[in-house]
Amino acid sequence: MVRTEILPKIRIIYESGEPERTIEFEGSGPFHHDGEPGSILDILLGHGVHLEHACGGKCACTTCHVIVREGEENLSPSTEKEEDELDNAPGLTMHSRLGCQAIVKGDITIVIPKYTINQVSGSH
Amino acid sequence: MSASDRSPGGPRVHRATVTRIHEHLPGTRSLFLRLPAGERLAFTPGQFVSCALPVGDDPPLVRAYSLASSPEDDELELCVDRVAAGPGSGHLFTLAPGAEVEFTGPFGSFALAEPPPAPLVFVGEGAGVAPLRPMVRRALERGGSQPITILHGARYEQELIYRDDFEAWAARHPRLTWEPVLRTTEAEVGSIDALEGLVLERFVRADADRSRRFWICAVGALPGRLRDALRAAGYERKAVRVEQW
Ligand SMILES: Cc1cc2nc3c(=O)[nH]c(=O)nc-3n(C[C@H](O)[C@H](O)[C@H](O)COP(=O)(O)OP(=O)(O)OC[C@H]3O[C@@H](n4cnc5c(N)ncnc54)[C@H](O)[C@@H]3O)c2cc1C
Ligand code: FES
Repeated sequence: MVRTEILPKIRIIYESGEPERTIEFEGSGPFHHDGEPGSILDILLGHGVHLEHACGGKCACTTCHVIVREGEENLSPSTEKEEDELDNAPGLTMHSRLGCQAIVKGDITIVIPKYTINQVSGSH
Repeated sequence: MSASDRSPGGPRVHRATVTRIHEHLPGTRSLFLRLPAGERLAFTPGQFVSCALPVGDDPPLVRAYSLASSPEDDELELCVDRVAAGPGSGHLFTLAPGAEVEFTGPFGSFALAEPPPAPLVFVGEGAGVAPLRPMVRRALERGGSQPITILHGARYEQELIYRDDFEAWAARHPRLTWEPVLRTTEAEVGSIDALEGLVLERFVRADADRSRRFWICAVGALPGRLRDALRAAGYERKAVRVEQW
């Protein structure tokens, strides 16, 4: 079958050295039960790609932290809630997002950082 | 497939056994969990664990549950609400003593390690007081003279879980005030509710003191609304911490 429509793509690069993957997705979700519908987490889990999500995609843990390498403009802007939580992410960068909150609207390339335990920070 | 296979290099998986169940009220119960001999979970009051629940097909469903116990306690306590048609909470409600619960953690920065020398305000609704309970206990045990307030929202009296603890602590520590805030009318549901109104009245309109520190936990939009209102009223960003379930 010849595809006429070009579907948005998520290219996933692993800091751990795992081989990279690319997934195409159709529609706006929800694809899974976790995270904002159409978020990076929702799309990845819905396409069988694992991403940590210790709080169940509720913006409470930072384990779904990703670094956006390309296509930042194709993500929903971050909210105050996401910024608050991101503050606690180990290895935070200017291009960091929470996978469970950032909704994908076009092609993006993301880097999944090596897992670092989400230690409590700034708790007082 | 176990949770540890799921995410190589990921967080360490703990397996605890349910020792007993305490029914606070129909639809809200505490599961007491014991880790294998010699294993302890180091956590900060307020943090949660991430349960991997064997619901439906692989991989397991991931759901967060706050630790209602204190790090010093022998057992871990999770206080769980049964959510209508909720797969995760529904599964936890099928467990009996002897059952195993698999989890990773602790996680979360909604926590209190050392109480800051400022008035502390804890706002919780329903089971949302669960993570506040070990935080308040930590604050009391560390001493200090700052006032500590718990505003405890609920729909009705019976829903004031951990009331006995809070009352006993308040009787022993005059600087602790535990204040139940019940919804008075059905009409409040969906509009500004009693708890939200009280927080704004007392901590925004009543005075100009902006030194207080807040920890707010509830289901739904209330924590976010209070965070925005308190910050807009002049409280520092880091002074207002919220957890939304
Ligand atoms: C950091 C964190 C800590 C949490 N701690 C606890 C805890 O200590 N005890 C607890 O019972 N739950 C807690 N939760 C909620 C829990 O993780 C699940 O969301 C909840 O059990 C519902 O999951 P489910 O699979 O049964 O239903 P789902 O179908 O996944 O959830 C349906 C809806 O129920 C809402 N919901 C979540 N919690 C409740 C609740 N307690 N009462 C009514 N509605 C709710 C959610 O907003 C969701 O939209 C916590 C959530 C987070 C993010
Ligand atoms: S899954 Fe916890 S913050 Fe995204």
